[in-house]
Amino acid sequence: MLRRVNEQDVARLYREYGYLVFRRCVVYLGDVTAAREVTRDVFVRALRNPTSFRAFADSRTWLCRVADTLCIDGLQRRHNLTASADTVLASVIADDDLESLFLIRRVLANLESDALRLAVLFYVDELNEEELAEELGMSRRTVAKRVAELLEHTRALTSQRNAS
Amino acid sequence: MMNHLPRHQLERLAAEDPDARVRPVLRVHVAACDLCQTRLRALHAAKSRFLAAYSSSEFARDTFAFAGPLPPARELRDWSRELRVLMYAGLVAVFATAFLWYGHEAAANWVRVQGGTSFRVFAVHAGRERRLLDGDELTTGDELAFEYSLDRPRHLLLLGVDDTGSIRRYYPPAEAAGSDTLLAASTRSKLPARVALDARVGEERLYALFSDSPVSESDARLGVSRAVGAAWATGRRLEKAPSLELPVQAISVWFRKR
Repeated sequence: MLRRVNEQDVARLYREYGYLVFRRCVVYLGDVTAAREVTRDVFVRALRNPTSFRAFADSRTWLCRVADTLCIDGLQRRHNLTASADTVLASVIADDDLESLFLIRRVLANLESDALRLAVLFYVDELNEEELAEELGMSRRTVAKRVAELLEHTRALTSQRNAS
Repeated sequence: MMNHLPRHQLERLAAEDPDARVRPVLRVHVAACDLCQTRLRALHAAKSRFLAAYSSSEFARDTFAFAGPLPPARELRDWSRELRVLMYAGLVAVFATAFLWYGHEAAANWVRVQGGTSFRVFAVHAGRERRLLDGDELTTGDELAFEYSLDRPRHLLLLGVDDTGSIRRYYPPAEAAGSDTLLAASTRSKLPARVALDARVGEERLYALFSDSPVSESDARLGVSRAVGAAWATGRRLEKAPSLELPVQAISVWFRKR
């Protein structure tokens, strides 16, 4: 029986995946309030599209893909979105790996929108090239090229920070 | 010795979701790996702190309140499935009859748009090719092939959006530059790009976006994303083609992957 996503389902999903969806949104948006709104919107999508959500065997993948889409769309629409300072983020979110989160934030802040998702899948989810190719629908060769560009970008950013 | 677990696997392990696909070998690895155990413990602790600040029951209540009225339950009831199957079977019979009656060329016109542009999508299964029509079901490993006719050189961007909102570019192919979109005028030419369907299930809509001057991929993605988002906001699915606010001639087809 295909049924609607009910309040208990949302509570369970949020208990299991709310933190990682919110953390992902913080990585993209760098703003806690905006990240909370998008996290809520992700779960609203699950409520409004139960057929699509239920068709997915893997809740995490579905939620993360929707979060990625909403965050990238949000960044394109809200050019004036100002990222919170690291200290503000550290005081508000209870992250398990703040150092990595700040590093990824700095990398993402200087990327074009079409490279954002690849960076999140690579740095946040830690997907390998084969998994990236599958998730992004790209060839292995293209993924390897994009990842090399991303690493180069990260290296440049790190050395620039070290120099300053 | 296997490598340490990537974060997405740790997150699946940390979730008690029965749907989370965690291979037993990963659990065995964590049991013997100090680093992965430490990361997993930190993840559990962070989750607990996060939920302590805003509980799951509060979140669920607030989310329902924010979501407002949901799609009518009758769309989800199981009893309507048989009725839908019968209805679809009837429609298929009507269309098949019409197709046979009016001939091959008449059915081909569904993709013709003004200005002498036409576009067809073919599904290739076990080496056999058939035209893909709205609502067709495909399976993993099937390939999509594309054919176009143009009376003048035009630009083409071929995008697919699935039911999670993910947008993929199929043409120009991933290996080519995103700006390499110009097609020469020709009749019934095949696109060099073929797409093999992956293992994901669900629905997808393909948009072939023809234009006389190039349209940037990011604009096209944004247009598709907005159209689909607007459709979702009103409870519609990919099955109903959302119209695009883009300076293009759009031809689209919707299919399901099982």
